[in-house]
Amino acid sequence: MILEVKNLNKSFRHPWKLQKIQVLKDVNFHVDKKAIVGFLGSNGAGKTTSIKCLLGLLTFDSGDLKVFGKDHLDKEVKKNIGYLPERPFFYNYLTAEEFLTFYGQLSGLDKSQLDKRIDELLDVVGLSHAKKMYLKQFSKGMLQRVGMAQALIHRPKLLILDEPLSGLDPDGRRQLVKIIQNAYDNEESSIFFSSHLLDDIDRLCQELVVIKKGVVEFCGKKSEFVDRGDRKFQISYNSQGHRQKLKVDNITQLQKEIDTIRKQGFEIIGVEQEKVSLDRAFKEFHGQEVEEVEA
Amino acid sequence: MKFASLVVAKNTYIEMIRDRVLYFVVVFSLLFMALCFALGQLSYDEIFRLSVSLGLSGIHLCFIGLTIFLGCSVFFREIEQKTIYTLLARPISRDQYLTGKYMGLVGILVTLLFGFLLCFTLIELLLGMPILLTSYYAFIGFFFESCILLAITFFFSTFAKPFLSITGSLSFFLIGHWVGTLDYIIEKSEDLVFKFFAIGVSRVFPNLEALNWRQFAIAKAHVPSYEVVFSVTVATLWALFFFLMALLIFRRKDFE
Repeated sequence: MILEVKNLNKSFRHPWKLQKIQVLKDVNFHVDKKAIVGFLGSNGAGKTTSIKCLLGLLTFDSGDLKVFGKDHLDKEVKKNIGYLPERPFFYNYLTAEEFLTFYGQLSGLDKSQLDKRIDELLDVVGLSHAKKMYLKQFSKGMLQRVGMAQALIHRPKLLILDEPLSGLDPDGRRQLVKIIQNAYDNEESSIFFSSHLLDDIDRLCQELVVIKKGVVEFCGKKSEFVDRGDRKFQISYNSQGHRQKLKVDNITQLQKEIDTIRKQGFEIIGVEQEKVSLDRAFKEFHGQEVEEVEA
Repeated sequence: MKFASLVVAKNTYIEMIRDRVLYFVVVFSLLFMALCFALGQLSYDEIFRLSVSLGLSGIHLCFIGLTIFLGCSVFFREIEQKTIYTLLARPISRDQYLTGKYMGLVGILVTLLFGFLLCFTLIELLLGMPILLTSYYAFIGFFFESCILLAITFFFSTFAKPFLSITGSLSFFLIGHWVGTLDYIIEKSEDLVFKFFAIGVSRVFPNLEALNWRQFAIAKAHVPSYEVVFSVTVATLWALFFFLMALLIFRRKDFE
């Protein structure tokens, strides 16, 4: 296991009142080796707070955070973590090359290793042409990509990304998704990334951690999350030369209806389980109304 | 990482020295300094005395202003731009980070001080004034005073917003230059309550007036070496004290 969070509790003191506001309540989750895990939750659910606790940017009330089996603040652990915060703005007056050199040196890489690595990474994130450009000349998408490069510069075993795709246009999002996928495929990194953009999580992740109001409500495979609860079925059958479709609500009803159709002497062509998107599963999970869409 | 502080210091220096805002403030400071010299030229008598006095005062004020501006803005920017998050996520301790920032800014102050010193010398040459070594003692004082104030701005910036940090640092600057006078008043006063509080104030605030060697430049006299050594030692200790206070707070700071 790469990352293990046990019973994490965090509260903030109200600026004017004496009482504390608890934002994380016994948070438990884990990230396995070589996995892309999506950290899903609405705004204010506690995603960024959990990540900040993990990185030592916030102290926490209680809990046990282990990365690679060691304490999360251990320097050896930090050498193997790459991090990109939400909507970062980096040093305006550094060039992309200087910026990556700086972060590489902080991670213990020497100059000879860095030169090669910087060229390689800038190529991966599509910024080779901007090597000598000041970061203040970069667009939001370019900043996000150079931010990804700084997170990857030291070949981390765990990459933590906080809302990496928010604020980007569709093209920027597509490019960054490609870079994240590339980091997973070629850099041997496990990736833990928070987002409220369900499409991207759906596209990238095999596993999910779902947090709601400071409580982790699900941790496991994405397919398990999507298939939670009763799913509808659709039976297709031939009735006197006409193709008919019948929708049933659950598996018991399905068996019953199949028997009835057969008894009537009709031919069953197929049975399909309703396909649910992550978006719909998430809405159902949150008890929100889901619009019925005819397939 | 062994030399993480040096890496942070180098980056801070490069980032700051290229900042256009800094150049705007420097140009303003140079104009102010030139104005101070020009005012000295308006005198009928003792042109040297007045020009050096006003010129050094102008440099002093500008340099202190720059110190407070740099000290307060560097933290605010790092937190606003979230660069501090990515830095502290690296294998670098908060102590190393803060030390690196301080060293980088001291580097900037040294560069600026040399710039001011050069301009001061050029103006003196242009005005046909004698170039005396005694004029340069004041610059040593400016440097150590700015080191204390930089540590004070770091101390305030670890827990306060820029406005409060600037106000706090300016208060230390003003009271620090008034402590000498306060000591004199304490000596003369017979009011015990006043004495109690005034002694408290004079012990809490560093005596910045001890680093004011402008009068030696005006009098064309050398500062006694024991005074230089003593004042510089005390100033270093004050800077260290405020820097350690800043470190203690920064170690526990939450980045919400």
